[in-house]
Amino acid sequence: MLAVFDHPSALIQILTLIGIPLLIVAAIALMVLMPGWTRAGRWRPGQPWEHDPVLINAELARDVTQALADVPEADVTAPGHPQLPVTADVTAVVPAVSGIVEVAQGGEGGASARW
Amino acid sequence: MPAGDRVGPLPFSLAQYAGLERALARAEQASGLHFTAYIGELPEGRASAVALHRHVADPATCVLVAVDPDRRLLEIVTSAEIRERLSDRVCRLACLTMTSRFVIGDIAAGIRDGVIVLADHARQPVTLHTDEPG
Repeated sequence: MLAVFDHPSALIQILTLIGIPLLIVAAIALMVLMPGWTRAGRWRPGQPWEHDPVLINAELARDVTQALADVPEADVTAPGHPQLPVTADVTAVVPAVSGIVEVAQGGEGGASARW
Repeated sequence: MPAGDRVGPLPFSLAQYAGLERALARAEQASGLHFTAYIGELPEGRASAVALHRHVADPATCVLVAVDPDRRLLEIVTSAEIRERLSDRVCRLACLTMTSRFVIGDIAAGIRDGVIVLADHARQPVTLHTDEPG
């Protein structure tokens, strides 16, 4: 067995000099890239949101799409529910982390924001 | 969408989703309010969020956090009944917390952090010392 290492063949030399460094590089690359693979499905700003609507911790009597569409005509333009300007390039109009506005003074409360 | 139904793949990892559910449940325990999160399209902006809020099981005690990632729109909707406990000012603070996470693309963590802020302010600590004689 030891004789193999005393006079290593060309194959052993190649495996030792190239194979082992390659294995080390592969292991390091795996450690670097693996966290990214686990976040592969993560949405990034600017990308289109291609997921179905998700409602967490709620019970609705009807379908969420129907509930969203059930907007009384008055609500769309009511002063209590201001609509921020919607443009293709939001960042050009509203700086990042801004656009927080106070909302309804009457019924529902809360706040609106854009980013 | 009926309770708990989810269509298609989740936008979050299972760990993120579990963390979000846990945060919503803890917020509910701490404050007594019902916290709900919606992530998806809001066609009419705030009006859609308000419409959704009106259709939850108990809108009077419900705090809805609605996020439309495509339009980069965040809406927090509370009811008239709980505005005393959860003021619009606090909602704006939560908006700031959330949007600071959203800008780096972390929707789940943003909602989680915002809900924590909301629950913290809506919490009603037990009064241990009152003027009433024991």
